[in-house]
Amino acid sequence: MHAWIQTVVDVLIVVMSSILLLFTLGLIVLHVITTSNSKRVEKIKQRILRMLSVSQDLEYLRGQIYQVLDPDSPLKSLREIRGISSARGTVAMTIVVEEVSDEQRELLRSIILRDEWYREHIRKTLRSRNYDLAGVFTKLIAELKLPGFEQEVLANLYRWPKRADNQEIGLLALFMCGCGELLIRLFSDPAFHLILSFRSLQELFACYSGDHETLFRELLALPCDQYVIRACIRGIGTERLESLCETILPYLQGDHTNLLIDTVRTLGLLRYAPAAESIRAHTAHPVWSVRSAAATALAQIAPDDCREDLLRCLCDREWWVRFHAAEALCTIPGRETLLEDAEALNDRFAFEMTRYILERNRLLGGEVSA
Amino acid sequence: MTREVLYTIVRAVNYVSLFYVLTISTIYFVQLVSASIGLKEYVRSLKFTDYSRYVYSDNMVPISVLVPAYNESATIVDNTRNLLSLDFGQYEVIVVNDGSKDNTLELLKDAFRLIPIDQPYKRAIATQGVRGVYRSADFPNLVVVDKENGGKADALNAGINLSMYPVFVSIDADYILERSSLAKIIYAFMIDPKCVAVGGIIRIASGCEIVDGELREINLSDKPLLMLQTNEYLRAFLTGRIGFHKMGMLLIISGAFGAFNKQAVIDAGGYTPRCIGEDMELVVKLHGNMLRGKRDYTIKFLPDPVCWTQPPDTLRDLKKQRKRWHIGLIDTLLRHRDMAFRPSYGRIGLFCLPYFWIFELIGPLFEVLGYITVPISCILGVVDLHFMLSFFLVAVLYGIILSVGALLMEENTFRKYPRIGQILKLYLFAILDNFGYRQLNSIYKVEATFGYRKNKSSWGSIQRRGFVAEKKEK
Repeated sequence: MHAWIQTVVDVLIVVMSSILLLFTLGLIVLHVITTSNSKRVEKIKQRILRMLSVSQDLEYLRGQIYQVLDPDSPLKSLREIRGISSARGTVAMTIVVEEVSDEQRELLRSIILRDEWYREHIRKTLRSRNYDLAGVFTKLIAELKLPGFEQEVLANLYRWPKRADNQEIGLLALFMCGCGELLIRLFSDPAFHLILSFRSLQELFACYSGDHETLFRELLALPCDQYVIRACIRGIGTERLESLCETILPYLQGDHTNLLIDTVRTLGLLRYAPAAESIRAHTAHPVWSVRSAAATALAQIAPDDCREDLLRCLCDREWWVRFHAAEALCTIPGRETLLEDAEALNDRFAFEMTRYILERNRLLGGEVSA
Repeated sequence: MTREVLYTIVRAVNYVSLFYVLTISTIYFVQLVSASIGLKEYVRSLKFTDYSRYVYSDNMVPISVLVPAYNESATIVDNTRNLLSLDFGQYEVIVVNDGSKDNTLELLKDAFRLIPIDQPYKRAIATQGVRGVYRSADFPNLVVVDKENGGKADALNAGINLSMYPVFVSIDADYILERSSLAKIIYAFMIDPKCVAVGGIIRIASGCEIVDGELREINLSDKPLLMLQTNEYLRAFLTGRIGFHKMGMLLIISGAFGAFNKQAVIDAGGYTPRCIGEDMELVVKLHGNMLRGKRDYTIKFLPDPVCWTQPPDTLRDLKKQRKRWHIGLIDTLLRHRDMAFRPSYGRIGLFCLPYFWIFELIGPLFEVLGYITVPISCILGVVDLHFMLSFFLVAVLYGIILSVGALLMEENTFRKYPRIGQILKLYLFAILDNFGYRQLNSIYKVEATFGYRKNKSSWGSIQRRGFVAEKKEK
């Protein structure tokens, strides 16, 4: 028994020692190749270093790409750069794209668009199984707004449906390139499932380079994911598309809470008067988050005709409704007597909230000194 | 006959100790491999991840940064100033003074021109009484809460109650965040709607140059105890945390730097008051709550968002800290003992919690027992010298492999310590770590286990040196 255990332990010690030796050697080699910058042996080492060291190779490729951007350089196209089609070449390209000025970025874009060989390389990579490289190229397409790769990007969205990072970068490319039709087709396809958070989607919509109005109008007419509809409704507000207010009016009568809240907020933001009465009614909605949004929106749409509703909201049982009602009351006429009015409500919580919001606003406005 | 029985028992103890060392080595090695895969995947994804696009976007999740403070006069002003200068769009900083006996509150009042304000707040979680709420005349996003002492968990709960935003980040008062850390950690919530909690990496700031609460230059400390902790943190975060994260079994998000979905935390009942290991306890609670409700969720660790800390620089403080950590572990495991070995809790119940019970809680006992019984057995002739040396060699080698493995991963990814001198120093301490320091930590853990009932306390008191002091030292 003892001998057997001892043998196992001895073998383990040998294995562990070997691993340790390997790790140590790996650490030394890695450090040497990543930090070596001695000019004396630079030329001799460059090739070896480029073979072994990611950062050295990236640095070299980066320099070469910059040369292509330089009109005085002998390098005229990307295909002349040795190693540009490698993974590191792709990464170097994204580094350069992040570094360059808008003018140089435009120049790089036109160089890529002129170079059929490089475009074909991008296409091949996007179709390959290399997830990481496809991701890097998709990012490049998004940042340079490169047209002509939409189908490949779209295919990858279906190919890796459970990877959130792939979905985000793929959609970003389509939004940045202004591929409205493709996006409409994608979002209305029941086989496509959104896995991004609502905020990410909203950010993507904000990056759209095409005509927002057309995109929103068409998406709202189709049976899309609730997140997409919400993003459109929010987008209408941020892009200030008053012409679409009527389109979203029916959502005020819907039973989907988040859609209702976003509609209330957007219509409030755009001060869409025809929605005033519906929104007023929503200040008594059973869901507190709707009441809260309605209080803010009502003050925006009907500032001269909402005081009573807001004072009622100020006595709401929910903290957030009182908070938003107090904030809204500070934005409409009658602010001077607000504290007295709140006191007259005989509701301690309403009074405390009003006092707090007034104090806070004074503080933020620089009216109070320490 | 009795001698024979004793002989067998002692020999069995030797074998059990050896078996323990071999098993834990194997588990740690699996973790190391898993971590290297996880880290590689993460670093590759960074190539096409663009969190910076969100930093000042209106669509970024707004966050509340909670800073519980108890007798933190040495670091509180620097730390708060650091938090107010982060690269992030919409956020508020809520410093909760948990009834400090020193001048923490006064320092804050002076430094940030605090003005008392009657702020009504939603009492989503019960806490000790709030004495007052202050807002800064200079920084609109700074809120200071002064409350009765109730412990760190209670302070965090008060912060949650006063917070305005859907995600909160907890950060200890003696920690410094890198400017981009917040954006990086919150990006996890943007990309993954199922995410309820994310942890970042903690690194040792000793030796670094920190000016006005901002990290200027990364360096290593000259003090051996701090170097040993630098290595230990690298190993723990780059192998342990990433390894568990990769296996979907992350049970610890450091209380020093973690981000949480506020509603998920409130649903779980918030931090447990008077619980010493409140950070781990909350994560276990979140797992339990989500799994019981059969909800789809993720809890993540990211090796990139960095938070820098000042570790204890004396053995006395180190002992206090480690005992507190271990008592926290025991407390959490006992509170959630019903989750262990239960298939309804998935891999958390079947693998992760049993691992913590067997290897993290009971393990140090075997380890220390081995260090005592094996040499005695050798002297008494129960085992031979070869066995004894093998035992120690295995124990030491696995420790070195883990530390060097972590160093290798660091060098291959983030390279915070780029100079050859720094690498050699870390390598040297990766070896030295196994000759005394690790054993010392095991002894502290054993002490904590035996003194669990007696040593239960709230905050403990570790001497803070302050980041300014570090700067002056240089």
